[in-house]
Amino acid sequence: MTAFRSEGEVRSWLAANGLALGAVIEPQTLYELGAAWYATRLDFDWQRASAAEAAAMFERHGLTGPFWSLG
Amino acid sequence: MNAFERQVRASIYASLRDRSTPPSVRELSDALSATEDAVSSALRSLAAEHCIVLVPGIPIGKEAIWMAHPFSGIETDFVVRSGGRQWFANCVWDGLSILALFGDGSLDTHSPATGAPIRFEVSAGAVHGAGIVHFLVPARCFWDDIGYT
Repeated sequence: MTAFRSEGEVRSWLAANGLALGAVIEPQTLYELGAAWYATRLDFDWQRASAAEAAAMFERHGLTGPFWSLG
Repeated sequence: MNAFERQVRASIYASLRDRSTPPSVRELSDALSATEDAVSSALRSLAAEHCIVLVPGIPIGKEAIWMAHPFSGIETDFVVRSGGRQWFANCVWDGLSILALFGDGSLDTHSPATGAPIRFEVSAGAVHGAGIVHFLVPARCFWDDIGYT
């Protein structure tokens, strides 16, 4: 996951490298997703989220559709 | 993850949290009063379970930790600063996540398109800075090649 100045810059870079567009996200959304995703990561008894829990986390932050599907 | 692997995992994260660097096999062995063989085996199990990522190509017994998400055990272009401390992250998501864990601070990286510096600053839960984030790899494929992801 890399940062760009603008979506236009993303598209230029993808074209120059023969790559397809993935998903473009606002950093605020990613920060909030990260806060939830890693909330317990430093805990001794951390347990990995199930696929269903991870999918629900994506959905709560508006990340829906085939790109975010874990199935 | 068995009880010893959980102790190893906790020691790795404590080191990254407190020292910004992952522990070596020897440091884990000393800290946990365990043999280096036991630590090496635990690291490989944790990597197989995707709890950590090891630096590729390192011989058994000399394992080095590449990733313990959201931290990177090696220098990257995702530099997080908060509270006078600095960490390396694996990507923008992980960099912002470290700030979510530790509080206000900054994430510095560069645009792959132009090489221009990009800084995101977090203050009281709000992210500031001109830029957006691109995910190249779909979520279901994150672990197919985690270094590429």
